[in-house]
Amino acid sequence: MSKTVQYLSQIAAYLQVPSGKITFDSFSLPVRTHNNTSVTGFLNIILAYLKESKLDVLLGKTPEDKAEIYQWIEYADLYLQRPNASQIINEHLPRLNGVLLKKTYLASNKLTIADVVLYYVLLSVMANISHIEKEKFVNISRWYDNLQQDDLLRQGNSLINFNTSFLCIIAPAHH
Amino acid sequence: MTFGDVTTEQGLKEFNSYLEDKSYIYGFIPTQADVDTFKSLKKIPAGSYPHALRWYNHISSFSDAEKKTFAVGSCPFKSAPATIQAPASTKKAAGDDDDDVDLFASDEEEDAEAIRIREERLKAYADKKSKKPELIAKSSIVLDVKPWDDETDMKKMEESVRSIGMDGLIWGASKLVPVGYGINKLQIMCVVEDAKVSVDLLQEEIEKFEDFVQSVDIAAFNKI
Repeated sequence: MSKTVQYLSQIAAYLQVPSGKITFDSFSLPVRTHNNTSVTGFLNIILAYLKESKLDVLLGKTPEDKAEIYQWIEYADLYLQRPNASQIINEHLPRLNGVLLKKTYLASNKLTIADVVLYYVLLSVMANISHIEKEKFVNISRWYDNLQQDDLLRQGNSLINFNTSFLCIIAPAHH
Repeated sequence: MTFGDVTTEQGLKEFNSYLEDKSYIYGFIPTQADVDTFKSLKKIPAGSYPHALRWYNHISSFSDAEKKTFAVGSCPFKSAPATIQAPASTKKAAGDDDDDVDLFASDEEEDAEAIRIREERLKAYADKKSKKPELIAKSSIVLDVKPWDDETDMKKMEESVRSIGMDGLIWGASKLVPVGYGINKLQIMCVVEDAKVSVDLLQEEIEKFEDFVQSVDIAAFNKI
């Protein structure tokens, strides 16, 4: 749950809106309270952020884009937040890799909030996977590498090295 | 890493692997390099080039007006010679300035000497050649002609290939060589006069029979 708070505050920071006070209700759903209004649920909170930030472009243009983006956010909420890293690596990254083979961004052909959410949710996993795995999930690596170039999105996190010529990293030369 | 002409199969293959870990040709946003390459692609990349196809679909999602707003980016395969030359010349300049270690000056002297010797040799060779009776240079070539699938009519394919007539081209024996999965490739010999027939042209001519021929490779090339 603390992870959820962290993701939401990072997303809010990216959108440059106050993240508000995040609490959890009896179903352990996140509740955001800000200016005496409260919003419940991961997706709804993100949508509330977007509304405040007026960055509607991140929600795509067509209803289809929007639907796809909602699905990605719910996917991130349901499947990527709870399990441990190895579960994500073994079950979800192969699938995501297959999706990103054909796409530059998750939904539509532009950076959307779906990419932003998955960037933060996957950050701890991506920062710790081995170079072999980065090579194996080359489509994810490409997508992630492209996302992390945005300073605002990265928020001071260090750039993850996706360099494919990593022999020097595996076997550093000692003199 | 660079890639060549994206209109060729080989170039496309390299382009595909180039884009494997990159979203755009240059940097992390679409640039004019993407637009240029997009324009030079004549057709949509085949499904066997998923990375090139993804890139193509992504770039084609932008409208023409949006494409114009892209930043100027250097295309690696176009700028490659320039970037190679640039450091060399700066190095040379640095070398000239540097009095202690003048690595390049001596090199240049040697180069001049080498060029002189080479020119002399070339001249001698040309003289020797001109004295010889005119010998027609011929090459014996074995071509591998690959069909699309096992249903391609190999007889018709051979007939079409043999129907190509050029001055200085003589077709020789041919045979079908199984490649696997019931597919055969046509191996055909021919003798060409080097001065009259360009092998590239011949390959192109064969590849024009698109209904039968998927690709043509040179299996063996011998000067006679």
